[in-house]
Amino acid sequence: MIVAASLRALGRRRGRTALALAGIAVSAALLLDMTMLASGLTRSFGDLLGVSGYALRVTPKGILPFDSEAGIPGGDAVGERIARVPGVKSVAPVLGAQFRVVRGDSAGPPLFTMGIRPGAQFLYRLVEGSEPGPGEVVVSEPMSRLDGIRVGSTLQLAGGAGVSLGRRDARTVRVSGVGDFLYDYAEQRSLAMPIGQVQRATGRPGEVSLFGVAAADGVDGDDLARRIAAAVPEVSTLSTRELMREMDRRLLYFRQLATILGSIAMVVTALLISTIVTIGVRERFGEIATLRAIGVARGRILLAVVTEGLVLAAAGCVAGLPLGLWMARRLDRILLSFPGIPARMTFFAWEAERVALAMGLVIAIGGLAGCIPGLAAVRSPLSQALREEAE
Amino acid sequence: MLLSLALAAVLAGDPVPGLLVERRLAEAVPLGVGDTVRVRALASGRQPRPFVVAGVFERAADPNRIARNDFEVRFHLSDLEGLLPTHDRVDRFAVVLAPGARGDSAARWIETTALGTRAYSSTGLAERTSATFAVVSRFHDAIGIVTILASAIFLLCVMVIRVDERRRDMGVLRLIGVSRGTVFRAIVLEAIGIAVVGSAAGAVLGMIVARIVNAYYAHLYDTTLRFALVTPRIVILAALLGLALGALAGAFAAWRVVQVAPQKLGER
Amino acid sequence: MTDEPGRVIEARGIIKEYPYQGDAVRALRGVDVDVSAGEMVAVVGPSGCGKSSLLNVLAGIDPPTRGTVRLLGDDLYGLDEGARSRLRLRRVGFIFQRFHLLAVLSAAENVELPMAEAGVPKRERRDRARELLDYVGLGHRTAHRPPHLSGGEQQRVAIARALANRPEVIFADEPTGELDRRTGAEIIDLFARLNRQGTTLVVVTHDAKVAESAPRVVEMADGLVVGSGVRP
Repeated sequence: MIVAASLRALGRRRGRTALALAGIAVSAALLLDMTMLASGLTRSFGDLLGVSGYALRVTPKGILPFDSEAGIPGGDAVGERIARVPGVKSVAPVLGAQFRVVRGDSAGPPLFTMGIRPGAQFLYRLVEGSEPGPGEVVVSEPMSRLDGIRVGSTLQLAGGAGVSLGRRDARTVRVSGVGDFLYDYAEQRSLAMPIGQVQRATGRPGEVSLFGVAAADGVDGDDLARRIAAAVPEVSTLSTRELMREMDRRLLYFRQLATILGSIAMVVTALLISTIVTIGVRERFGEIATLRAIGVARGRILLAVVTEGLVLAAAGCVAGLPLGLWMARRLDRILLSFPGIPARMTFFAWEAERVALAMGLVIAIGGLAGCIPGLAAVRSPLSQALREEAE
Repeated sequence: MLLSLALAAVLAGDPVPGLLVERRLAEAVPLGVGDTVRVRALASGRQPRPFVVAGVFERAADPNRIARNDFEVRFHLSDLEGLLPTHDRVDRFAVVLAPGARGDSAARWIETTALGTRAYSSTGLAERTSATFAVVSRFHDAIGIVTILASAIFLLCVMVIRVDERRRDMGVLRLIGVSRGTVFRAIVLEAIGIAVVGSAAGAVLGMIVARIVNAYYAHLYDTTLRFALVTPRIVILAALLGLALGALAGAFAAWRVVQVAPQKLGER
Repeated sequence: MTDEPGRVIEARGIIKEYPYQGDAVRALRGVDVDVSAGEMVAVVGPSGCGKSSLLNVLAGIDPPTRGTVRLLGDDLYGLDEGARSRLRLRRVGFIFQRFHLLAVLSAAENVELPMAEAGVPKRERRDRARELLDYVGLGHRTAHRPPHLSGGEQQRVAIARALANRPEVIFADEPTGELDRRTGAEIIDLFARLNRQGTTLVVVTHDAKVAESAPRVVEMADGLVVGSGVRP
């Protein structure tokens, strides 16, 4: 009953309680977003790396996938050595290059082109058509949509801008399929074709930019990475965990920003709740003194005041959760316009335990914020409180 | 371009070409002027070649590379070509224009003349390379709006509470004949006062926090870049915003209290 | 100190000092008071004479600087805070000048509150609250909240609340101080009725009507008991 009375006191000043709830909701939303941001991109990157089943990347020594133009010379042979490592299920070579679509006498802007092994690749999923055979390409979905390219269309591709200078070095390829390219940024035009075709066209025979390696069932990725590193020491073998760690390092700023803003949100929440509860308690000082005088235990009064803080915080969370998710979508849209960020990634990952952590933190802050005025109320000298109230 | 670099001793013979190493690398190895290093390009498969450290330079603070754990060395172009499998190739040219020439039109002329090239004026290039930071800036703006919203609600809440606390006093003032307008103005003035004091304290706190943030990142990334900047414009903007929010919060709280009949203000 | 049978309160050598600007103000300067079961005692005297301080000390609200108090057989200030709270909750009733009802609770809920805290089952306390409100003449206003009740009605609710856990002694501090003469008279009648039914009452008042209604009067001045008399 005493707890119910305490909660009803919140309703007595509706305007002020509504304002406090709005403030707590905004702070809780910010805290939620910062909690989601703190691990979102890394987590989302990890998910993306593993989505095709190729959890390991083998790259030229010391570099990250597509971090430079460096390639692995004699890549075909390296691929065979990797495939022989126990625990390797499949090896998918990739060679990155740039081609231009030729229309008439002019070449278009460079397109990111990937040489792949059609039976073993991890860069796209076919949404239409079939894997590319000799003289065939798969185009990305935005390229198909924006340029009106369909399965069966033919394209003139050139390695450089020489066409515009009158060089007849363009070759005709047929579009065998349209793919959903997993690592492309929004509206990116990309191509994939058999790796041998790219090697020949670019004069890089046998070269590979990187390999994706799929581990056999039940094989630990990190263990396999160590075995490949031992078997092929001239390359770098990176497990998903290592790539995520590197991503984490590069995104340190965002994590720290998230921590700072999250802390500020927590302080604001604590200030709001403690202010509102303190004032509420001060207004009811006489009531509280009366309760103590008639024999209500201090602990019960403290419980009532703390519950007030907890309920305020919990109600703020209920309002803050949808607000936070809405804000996360808006902020994600801003951050995904970073150059080179795959469109499938997200900076704000929904992880139930993290959301629960953020909301739990707000509610705990509510409880703590209620403790301060609650303790002050039950510790004040009783006769003095009664006297002040009577004056 | 990725290079591997190792300290080496060189026998007398052909003159050894020089290179420059950036300060962070010189400190990390450590390297000093006159040291000899052996360098090879990672992807070339070629044998390493000796170079002598001719100098140490401070790399320009580049926000794009801040989080990348790489070091920079500089060669004569011909020496670098000697390390690489490809020859007669450059990544980019820097072009100095004649006085009076316009960067943008010169860039368009170069693109039409040297087919397959892309040319940028320095302004255009700055815009392109700062795309990342434009995004960060937009993100900060969005967070700023949320923060302002939270602060506004907080200020409003504090003002409403302060006024609520003194409803009886306000009632007495009204009962002894003080007009609604006077009570209203007094509350708004008080709110503005709180906002001014809060803004001033916030500006000082902001400057202190900016110093701490900059010191932290300078240490973390070994950079001269400044991550947080409290400029007079920002201080003025924050103060004006604080004043406006304070006045609004005061007006709202005052409006609530002057709507109530004076004899009712004493009720709990 | 003796522990006489039938003695509800035994206070000996009560001194109460309050700190004030680095000094100590002595509100009670060595007070001895005894109250027996079934008595109604009015403590009277001018403002500032120490009446309310004495009531607070006797009721276990404010510990004396020196002296001892036995309340209902317990050495009141030998008990810890929790035990004193339990004693006040279960065996003592309180009535204040300003009623001190919880504004957010209805009249019935205000009366139920001490019973709820004492662990009385919900149904029982609801019935008892209605019964008590009937007793104080407010059976028709059980659902009203204090802001919607007159001063006299609020004080009746406070009396019903004080009776909630069937106390052996009730302390009242200026119970008619906020009421008009007619309403005050009604409260005095109620006290007299309670006393006739066996409840011990200690009432601090400067209302002559209340003092007249009490069979025994303790007169105070300047922190001391200066007179005590039983009405024939």
